[in-house]
Parts: sequence; C-alpha cells; structure tokens
Amino acid sequence: MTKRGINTSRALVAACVLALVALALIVWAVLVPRPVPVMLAMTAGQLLGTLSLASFLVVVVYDMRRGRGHIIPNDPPPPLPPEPVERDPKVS
Amino acid sequence: MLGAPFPVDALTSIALFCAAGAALIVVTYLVRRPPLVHATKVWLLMGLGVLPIGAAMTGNVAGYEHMKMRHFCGSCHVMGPYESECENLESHSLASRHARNKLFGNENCYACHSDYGMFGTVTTKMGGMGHVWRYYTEYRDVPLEESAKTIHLRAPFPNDNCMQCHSTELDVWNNVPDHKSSLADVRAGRLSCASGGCHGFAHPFTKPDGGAP
Repeated sequence: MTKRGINTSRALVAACVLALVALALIVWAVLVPRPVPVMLAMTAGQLLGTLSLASFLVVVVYDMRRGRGHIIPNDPPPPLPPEPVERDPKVS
Repeated sequence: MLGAPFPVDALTSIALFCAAGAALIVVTYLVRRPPLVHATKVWLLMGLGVLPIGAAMTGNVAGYEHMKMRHFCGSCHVMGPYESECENLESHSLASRHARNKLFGNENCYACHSDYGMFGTVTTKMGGMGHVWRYYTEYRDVPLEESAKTIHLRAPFPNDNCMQCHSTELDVWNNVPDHKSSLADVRAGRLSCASGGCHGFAHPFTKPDGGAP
C-alpha cells in the first residue's frame, strides 16, 4: 500500500523557522533573565524547538522510506503517451 | 554576575555558543536550500537537534540559577522594597542579616523561602509559577504602598526552613532558656521563629507598626 507524500522542502523550511524562533526565545531568556523571558523560553521555546526537531525527523524518515519505494513521490511522472497503432494496408 | 545586562558566566556562554551555531546552520540552509543529501541531513541534525538541545539545556540550568537570585525576585516591582531592605547594610531585620551572610548572599530569598524536603525544589518552582501568575493578574498595577499591606504569605513561614541551618540539636542553641522552653513548639511549627516575640519579623517594614514586638 502506498501513501500520499509530504512536501519535504516546505516541512524543512517550517522546521528551520520554528528553530529560529525557539532559539531567539532561549537567547532572550539567557541575556535578560527576568520572569517572563525565562518562562517563555522554558515553555514556548522548548515546545517550538521540539516541534522543529520532530518535523526534521519526520522528513528524514519519510525521505528514507521514499528511497526504498514505500511511498510514492509528491509529483509522479506524467503518463506515457499511447503507442501509435499500425494500420494494415490491406484493410481500407 | 546577576543583574548585569549581559551575564557572562559559563552556562550563559555555552548556551549562546550553541544557539549561535544552530542559527548559523539553519540560516545557511534557508539561504542556500541545498538538496537533501546525507551531508545536508547531518548538518540539519546539528542545527535543528544537537545544538538547540545544548542551548536549551544550558539555558534552562542558567535560568534556574538566575531564578535563585535576589535580583530576579526583585524584578517584580512589588518585591522591590524587600530587595532593598535585604541590601540595606544598616538594617537589622532577619532578612537583611541573612543576606549579609555569605552562605545566603545573593540567593537569600530562595534560601529561606524554598521548600524543604525531597520534592522541595519542585514545589518551590510550582509556587513561583503561582507568584508570577498572581503578579500579572492581580498585582502588576498595584502601587507599592498598597501592595505592602496586601501581600502576604500563602501559608505561615515553616520553621523547617530555619532548621535547615539551625538544627535545634546543638547545646549552643538549647542552652538559650527561651529555646529550651519552647523546643517542642518550635519543632512542631506551633511557635514561629520569625515572630514578634522571638527573633522578629523577617520583613518588619511590612507590618503596620514596623514590626515592633
């Protein structure tokens, strides 16, 4: 059985953006150790970072399985054109 | 050092280093968009996994260390007078005297108010979350004069916190007549060490009469 694929490029971009937001929250908390930054880094920052890593791992696993033929790619190749039918010259 | 705009202790440096490395890898990927070959996966594993986890772990530990500091408690305006009192070298309050002790130092709020026992750290953190919640929902716009009258401990200050250091077991403690006569009550928490008739209130300025016994 085959499954519909995911857009690996978009998933990786999303993972990168999530990671950057999470890193920004962590750096904010480290540089400005006050209650709100620290709590945001320990909650939202870690949640976003975990989602980012999970997205990346999903893409990697998906890519490995696609390489083994378990999953059809996102854009399957176009169907081949029909072969031309040869006409019998004796039949009019 | 706490309170400086850019703390540069070891944990902070490691967290910043990991975060910078991760950001560099991630931004490079976003700009170049290389094909997802083996090398790209390894680099992204570093940029999305290893280095951010390192930044988060060291950042968390640094955050926990910062949370113990008196300046962290004093960052909410209603705690400002408490922080000032602790830093007042001329004050003779319990809080100030303990803050001048190197064993407590900059962590004197946490040292006295953290819960004792196996899960003391966890319950202390949960209590701290409650403080932050109540600050932003109730006390954020309350003037200092009013907050000094209305802020109170959720429960009586437990003598167990005092007895982390003052064990009540040594002769030098038990030779004090008042200690000896009230030993059972002190250990049971029925008589507070930090009461007006004993060692005085920890923060006497919060009392209507200035904490006079």
